[in-house]
Formats: sequence, structure tokens, C-alpha cells
Amino acid sequence: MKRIITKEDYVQSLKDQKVIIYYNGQPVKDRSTHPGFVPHINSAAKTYELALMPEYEDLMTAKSHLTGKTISRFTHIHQSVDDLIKKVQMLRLISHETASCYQRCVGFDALNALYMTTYEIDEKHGTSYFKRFEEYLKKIQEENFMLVGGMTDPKGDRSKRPSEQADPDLFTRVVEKREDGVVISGAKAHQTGAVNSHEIMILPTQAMGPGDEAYAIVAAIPLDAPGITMIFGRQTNEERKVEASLDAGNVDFGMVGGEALVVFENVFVPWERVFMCGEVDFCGTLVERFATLHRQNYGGCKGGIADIIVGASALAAQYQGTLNASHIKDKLVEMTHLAETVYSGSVACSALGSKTKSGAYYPDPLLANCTKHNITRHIYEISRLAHDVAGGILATLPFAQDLKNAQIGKYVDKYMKGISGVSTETRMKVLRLLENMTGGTALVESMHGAGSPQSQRVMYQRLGKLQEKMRMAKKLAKVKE
Amino acid sequence: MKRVALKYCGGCDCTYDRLEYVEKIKKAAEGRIEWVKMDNGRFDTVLMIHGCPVACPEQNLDPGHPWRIISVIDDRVAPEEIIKILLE
Repeated sequence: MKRIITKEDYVQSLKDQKVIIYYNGQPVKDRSTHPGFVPHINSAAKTYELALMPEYEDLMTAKSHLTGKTISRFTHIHQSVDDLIKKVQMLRLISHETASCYQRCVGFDALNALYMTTYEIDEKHGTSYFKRFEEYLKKIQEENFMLVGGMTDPKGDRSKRPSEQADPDLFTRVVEKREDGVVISGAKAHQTGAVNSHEIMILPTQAMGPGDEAYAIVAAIPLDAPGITMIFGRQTNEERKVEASLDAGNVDFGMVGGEALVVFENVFVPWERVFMCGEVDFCGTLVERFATLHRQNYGGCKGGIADIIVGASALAAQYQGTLNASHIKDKLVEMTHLAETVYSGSVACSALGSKTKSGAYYPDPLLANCTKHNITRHIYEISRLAHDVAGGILATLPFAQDLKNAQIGKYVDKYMKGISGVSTETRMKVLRLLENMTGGTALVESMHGAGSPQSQRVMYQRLGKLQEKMRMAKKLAKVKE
Repeated sequence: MKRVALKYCGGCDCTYDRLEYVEKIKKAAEGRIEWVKMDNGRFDTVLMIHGCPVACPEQNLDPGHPWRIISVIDDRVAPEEIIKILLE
């Protein structure tokens, strides 16, 4: 693939790669101009645009440890604690520009988790995945294409292991091993940014054991490979994207990442693109690392998004003359406290990161899980406070078309106006932005993106050092039994 | 003409509008300074524009660097003062 440097390169590359996508029951002819995808494309394109700007390059780019060249940070392997912190800072920065999800962190985290884990698979099993993976890494660092991190399988009956499912495709699997590669079937659900990406890195979705070997598969697959079909997920207020009016709230960048179900029907993958095949003993490690690296992000990206919610809430209050009310000020302070709390979690797990055997750096897993767990609560509380500050108008505002209507526009303009000096349209734009960011799909993403809350609590049980804490308590209580 | 390299921090959470401030500084220079990037080796002074007091790029500088560093962490100093220091 031709190296992607600019936004224009990126959009053209999406046009050039012919993929199969369905949107609302219809095949999509040109994904690069489809109104359902354009906001998500704009968000991802921001990662390319900002990397070219001197005032952002320190965060948006890095030096490749493989080639010494300047590369997008989204293709970089963390070489230090400073790199881990810069990742979080970068995410907060991009959130300030998009107020939405820019999708590239998932592939970024998959690359880092695989770098660490393929090294250790080779060490134990004498395989050659690491070298193979380094070659792939050089390719993505050079070409700068967009990679989906494909972890979540549909999972069917959650009480059963992959090999126990009635339908074997409910976990993505190898259906045939050939001399030149493997053939894959199954699906990956909730794939952020898939419809505007170039490749997907499929990863096992959970720890596995003997009998699950066919499901222990890691492979990088171009999204135009024969047998791949993507089905776009309908978001809250999906139709507003098509209207592209102020009712969309965040007209340019949409809401969260734009998720799709990616189906694999007998998809061939050559061996040079396979980075795990049957090593069930490393599935748990790989999943834990990917999850930790991904949960590390959330105080950065959602912290940045929370900054915009705070700003929009303050504007909404200002436009209706309540900004100086003491209870409004106090709510804005509380929202700021929560935003900085989630951000501090991401910085902390990065600051306490450590070096793995491969040389790549890895965040503190317990703190990373705490960070994401706080997101499942604090973004809801920040959104609740935003609704409180903005008022019921957030839910009852007339259509943008009503404001423009020749007969009733004057009524909307008259009765939706707040303070003098601020137009009704301005007030409506800010209220719609708040609505977009604080409800529906945006909230569910905070709950389940990077793993549901229970998956973080399971990690607390594993990493929480309960025995050590009991020992310390016994020592202080001067008890022995 | 004096050559000064302009270096920005990454801009994760700035406390002021860096670009607006730099525009004011450039305007105050009144053509007396040629602004270059740090990958252009011919300069002896660097104006570092940090978004906050953490000043990340300055922390990451090699201690043996040969440049005179003028560091900005907010927009409280008058642009004319910055230019005066750069031209010293």
C-alpha cells in the first residue's frame, strides 16, 4: 500500500481498497463518502492531520526503534515510561479536537501486546512469530495504514468454552491449515473503526485451554480479503448523520468510533501474516496484555472528551444565564474533578509501567484496570451532571428544521433564546453537542469498551494482592492464626 | 538575521492558546528573526513553546546540547519582551 501521510491520502486509500460493507441492509458502494461513515473517517483522519503539525508532532509521532524513522505514534512500540505517558497525553489531545473516538488505539494496543507476547511464545515454543511480527511492524510503520484490533468474538453461550459451542463459528477459528497458510471462519463483534480501516488483527478473545487450539489464532488480514463482510452497527440518532444538520451535535466527528460486525467466511491468510496458531497457553497472557494496554487509554481519551463535556455544559449554562449560580459552579467543579481523576489513573498506570522481556514497555495492569473501571462510573456521573446543568431542554429541543421553517421558525427563535447577545441557533448547537456526547451509544461505549466492568473486577481479584494485605493487617493487629 | 528554532510541546492540555501567542511573538519580531524548525541545524537559539509548566520537550533535551534555550510556559510575558530576550 502507498504510504499514508495526509488526510487526503487516507480518504483516497479508503476509496481504493474495495471492501464489502452493509449499512442498514444495503451494500455500500463508496465507504469514503458514505454519510454514515464520514464523521468516523474525519475522526481517524485527525490522527494523520495532527501528526503533520509542528505544534502536535511531539505527541503524535515517535522514532521507530526498528528503523530510526519518524513514524505515527499509533504504530510505535513503547520504548520507555515516557512513551507510555505520551500515549495518554496524545489521546487527550486528539479528544480535544474531535470530541469523539478516533479508533486507532485498538490496533496500536494490539501491536504492542503482540510484540511482547510473540517474543515470549518463541522463547517457550521455539517458534518464529516475533521475527515475522517485526516484519509486519516495519510494514505498518512505513505504510501507516489503519489497523483494527479484532478481539471480541460473538461468544454464543457464555457458559461454554469455544470448543463446546453448538455453532463452532461463534469463536473465530482456523478451519483448515495449509502449506501456504490458514483458512479462518467466524466473526469479530463491536469492531471500532472497521469500516474505515485497511486491515484487522484478529486476536483470541479469552484465555483458552487444551481442546481450543483452533481458536488460538492471531493473524493480520486485509479487510478486502475474499470472504470478509462488514455490517455496520446502528448508533443512537444514526439518521442525524445523514441530515448533517446541527441536530447531529458533533457534525464533523460523530459519536464514538463507528462499530461493525466483521464476518470471516473461509478467509485465507498466508503464514507470514500469522502470529499465533494453536499456542493456547499464551492466549490468557495476550488477552490480559491487550486489555491492560487498552484500559490504560481511557483516562486519556475519555478524560479529553470529559473536558469538552465540561466546556459545553458551562456554555449551556452561560447561554441561559445560570453560569454564576453557585450550584452550577459546584457541578462544573465536580465534573472537572472526575475528569482529572480518570486522567490521573491513565498517567499513573503509565508512570508505573515496566519493561517486558521483548524490550517493550507495559503499563501497571492493576492501575490500568482501575482506570477503565472508573470510566464505567465517572463518565456516567459527568454526563448526569451535564444533564442537570443543561436542563430539560436537552431532551425537548425542537428540530433544526423547525428553526429554519418559514412559519414556525420565529417561535423557535423567540422561545428557545437564552441571554441577549447569543443567538438561538448557537444555544441549540451547544445543547445538541451535549446531547450527542452524554447519552445512548456514547455512554454504553464507556461501560463496555475495552471490556465490561466485571472483567476489570476479575483482574482486581487476581492482581489485588489480597493475601499480602491480610498479612499486613495481621501484623498490625498482632494476630497469628 | 537572527535565526531561532521554534519548538512546540505536544499540546496535550494547554493552559493558553499557543498558536495565537506565537503569532503575536512573530509579529513583535518585525522581521528581525528568521524562524526555523529544529531539524534545520543552522541556529543557536531555540524558543520552546510549552502548553504548561511540565515543559516536556525541555526535559527530554540532551544535556550536552549546544543551544541557548528560551522557554515559555504561559502567555504572561509580553511578546516584545520575548523578542528582546531572543535578540540579546
